[in-house]
Amino acid sequence: MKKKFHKVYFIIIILAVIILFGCDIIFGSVNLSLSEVWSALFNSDSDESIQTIIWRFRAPKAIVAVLAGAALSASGLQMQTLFRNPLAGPYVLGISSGASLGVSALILGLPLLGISFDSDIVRNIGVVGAAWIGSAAILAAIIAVSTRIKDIMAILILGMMFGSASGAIVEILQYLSPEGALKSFVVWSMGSLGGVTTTQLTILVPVLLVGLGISILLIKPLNTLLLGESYARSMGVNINVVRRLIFVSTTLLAGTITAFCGPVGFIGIAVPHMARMFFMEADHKTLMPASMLLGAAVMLLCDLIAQLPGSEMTVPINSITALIGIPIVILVIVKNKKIF
Amino acid sequence: MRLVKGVLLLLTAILFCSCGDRTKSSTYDGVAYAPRYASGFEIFKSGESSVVRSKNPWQGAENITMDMFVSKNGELPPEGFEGVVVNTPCRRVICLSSSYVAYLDEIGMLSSIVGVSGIDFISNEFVKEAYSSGYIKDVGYDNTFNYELISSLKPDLVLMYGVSSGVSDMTDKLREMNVPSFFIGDYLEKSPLAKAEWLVAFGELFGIREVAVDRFNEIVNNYNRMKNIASNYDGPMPTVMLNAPYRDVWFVPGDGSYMVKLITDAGGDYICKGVDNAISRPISGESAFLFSSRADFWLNLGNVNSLKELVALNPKFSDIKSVGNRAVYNNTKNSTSMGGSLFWESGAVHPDLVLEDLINIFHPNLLDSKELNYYIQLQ
Repeated sequence: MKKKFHKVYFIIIILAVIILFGCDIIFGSVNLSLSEVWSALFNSDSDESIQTIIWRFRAPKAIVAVLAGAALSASGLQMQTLFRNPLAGPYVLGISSGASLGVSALILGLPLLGISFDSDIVRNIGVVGAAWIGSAAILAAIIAVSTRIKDIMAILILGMMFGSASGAIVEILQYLSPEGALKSFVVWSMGSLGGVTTTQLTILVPVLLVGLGISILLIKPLNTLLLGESYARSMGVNINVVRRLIFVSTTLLAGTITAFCGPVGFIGIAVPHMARMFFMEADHKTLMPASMLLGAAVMLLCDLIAQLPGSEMTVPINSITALIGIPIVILVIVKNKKIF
Repeated sequence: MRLVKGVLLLLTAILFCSCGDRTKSSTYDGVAYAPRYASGFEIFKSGESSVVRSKNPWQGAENITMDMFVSKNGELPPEGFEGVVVNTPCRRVICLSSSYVAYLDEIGMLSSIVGVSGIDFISNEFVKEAYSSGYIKDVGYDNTFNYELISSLKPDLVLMYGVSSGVSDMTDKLREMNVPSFFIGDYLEKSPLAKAEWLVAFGELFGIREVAVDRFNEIVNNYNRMKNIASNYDGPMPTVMLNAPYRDVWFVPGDGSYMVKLITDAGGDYICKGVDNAISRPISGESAFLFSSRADFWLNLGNVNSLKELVALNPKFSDIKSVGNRAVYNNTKNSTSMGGSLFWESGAVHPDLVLEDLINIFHPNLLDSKELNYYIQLQ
């Protein structure tokens, strides 16, 4: 009976993703009629600038929204289970701080060393590379230390400390930097889905698919982790391997999204809770795909709102994800359901 | 109830006190110089000396005036004068903005500079040499001002720009150290000639107002002459896009801004028109794309030095008309490695030279001079 309802829920969510994806392509700050969108999509000799808007601006952005929502939610779910903490999210291990450190070292630090922002090094590494290196470095440090530490809470604290330390370095760099560089950095830290180019998508998509694949492989070990680490050990689960796999998938998912889109807040914390509320169960076989799909839908919705359709302005995606995510997190705290 | 009354009374008292301070203005002996274009300053007579008044010297300031008594022959300010007192001519000046260096250069007073803010952003050769010889010191910028160094330079005057937050900290600190400081609001002026007119206020500090007025009039005549040439041209007006995106946000200035006025005066048509103020607003990547794909020219792209770089940073904009026609110009001629550029340094005092550049870009056959002063064509 229960499972039957699940099917219906899944169909509803998938439909929502498809509809929101369509809306995200149809609505944007430039007003286009349905027929204009249609001919830009399927008629190669239609207005060139409208074709560019659809194919180079809106389509990549909508694809990134789907991937970012799914990736952040999947890694948020893993973190919540691993740390047995409802407020854990993809960034608790300091991934976004690591990425910020990488980006600020690139945008703010290099000019201070006299290397111009438009030099070859900067362009070759790029903001994406710097962010990815930063978050991967933090994760590598945590993995290295975590083999010696049994207690998962100690690792959580470690992540926070690494995060704060890199935050401190970012502050020093900001303090010393000229205005133009600061503005670039601040705009990065506000997050954006539209900065990803079509060529970058060819890197983003396979990396995220690998990350999402690992997440699906982790469904069973995650279920045993729910019952406690010692129980999982007694079931023959190699905790160290599982931890490492979770860290790797988080780097691939949240690290990569942060690199391309900037730190996008609250989706990773809020969406797994939405999945739990909808499906009323703790089995990762349901929660993992549900979180991914719901994440995609919520992210598309946030992007639609952030575009403020019809106005030539947009608002940073981060503000919208926060405004939508925070009420859900508050709801979880107020209801204080025993999840773990 | 009583408590409420008490609080109300107290609040009114505070309000009156603070208002009293603001409106108390000394009356001087008439106007010595009423600016023709600028709205941020005025010069009054006071005995043999003069008073330079800076009005609303930071963004968002309302009804705020700051007076500086420029004393000749040791004359004292009138009774009740509130403000700073400096003796003319000023011998030791600290400039907290690179544009002040250009103003002083224009009236031949570079040798009075003893301190600057951010030497890496300054392209003036004289100042750079004096810095490496140790005569001019770098006092830091924004939050990192080196107050001990400022004090040790024994300046007659610190020329500063106003930004609403943090301003009071710095002025209070300087007052405590007995260092006279004055706000220059040139960057808030909305027209090119108004910015340049601040030259007169600079001249007043050194007792050479007439020299400065003559120089300013030359700039005005030069500017208007070229503006007339451009406005008499009856060919098509090219459309112009400004600035470059930060990721997928693009900040564009309003119609009332300095840059848009220059474009209009040079016979160009700013393509993001429609918001009647001088403030920059963020527009989305796709709106910006629509604008820039229709524009004939693309100007002021920040830290970009070649078309290859531009396309690498903004691949979505690689196929637009201005890039294909190489009609992309950046205001980075003679820029420093830190991103300071001659345009931001002396463009304010030389609107005529900026206008000359823009006319040469939009209408290459109108003027005799062909060399660009501040702009480079991206290759």
